[in-house]
Amino acid sequence: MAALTWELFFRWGHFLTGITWIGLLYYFNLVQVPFLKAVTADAKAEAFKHLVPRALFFFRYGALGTWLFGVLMLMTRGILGEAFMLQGASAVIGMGAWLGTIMFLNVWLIIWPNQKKVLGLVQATAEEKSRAARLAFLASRTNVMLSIPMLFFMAGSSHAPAGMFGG
Amino acid sequence: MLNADAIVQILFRSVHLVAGVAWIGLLYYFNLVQVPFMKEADPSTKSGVVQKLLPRALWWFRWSALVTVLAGFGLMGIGRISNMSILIGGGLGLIMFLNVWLIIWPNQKAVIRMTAEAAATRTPPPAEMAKYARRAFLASRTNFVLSFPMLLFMGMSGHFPQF
Repeated sequence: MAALTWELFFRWGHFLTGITWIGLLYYFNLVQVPFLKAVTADAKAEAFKHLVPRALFFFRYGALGTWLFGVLMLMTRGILGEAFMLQGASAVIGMGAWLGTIMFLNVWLIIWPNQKKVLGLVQATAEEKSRAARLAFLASRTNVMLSIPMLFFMAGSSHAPAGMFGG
Repeated sequence: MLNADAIVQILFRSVHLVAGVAWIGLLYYFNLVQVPFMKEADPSTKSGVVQKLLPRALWWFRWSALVTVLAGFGLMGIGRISNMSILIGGGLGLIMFLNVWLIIWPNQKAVIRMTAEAAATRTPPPAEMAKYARRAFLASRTNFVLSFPMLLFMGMSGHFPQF
């Protein structure tokens, strides 16, 4: 029962941080990108100074929290190794976890370092800035694509009847 | 062993997750990012955000709320799920959904309309706009708070049906 209570707590944390992370990913792609295309240079500068940094703060720490809570849930269930190796019944959640891990690394290793250049937190020439903006955009768009199968595997993981995915 | 019921259930659950993430994710964006930003922004930036960012965000927000609820009802029906957790979690979700469509959206619509009129006529927005903005804000903050117990019970429902 103690393990179940921990798992429930980790699941709650995983939901809260995961919604923050992927919700902001959808916000960037569905709302902010079209918005920044439609506004004046002044409004864009203002958004980059005050709006984007705050959104990126919750975005990247949301991603970190989601990943950590996910790992803790797999550890509580004692299937971290099996999921990592895509073995047996843990293969389904393993696929979701791998996709989530790729997305998480994408956030911290590609999106955030490039956004730091765009925001001017790291020195960059105008040319480097526009290249960084493009890279961050493509990595972000990639994560939107990956989020659909990722959530499908998350949904299928602990609810699919035994044997549904073979194994 | 692929049975049709299980496949439909997983599809509904996927749709429920994707739409739910978009809905509550935008709720968190409004409460954690946009509200603090608007407090600091100058009037012209604010007006631009209300006219060009907010309508798009609210479009995804309210329609994803509808899809989340419909997929949720579908799931309960197909899976024949009825335990205390899902009744509490689903009940909270339903209150939040009604809040979106009956309070947040009508009040935000008034704010967007008044802001656009003020910008078009180059006059300050009417004083009563603050009243609509305040109502939408309070309903949004309420949903933010309700989302925490709602998600706890959602997480419990499929995994701890004994509760």
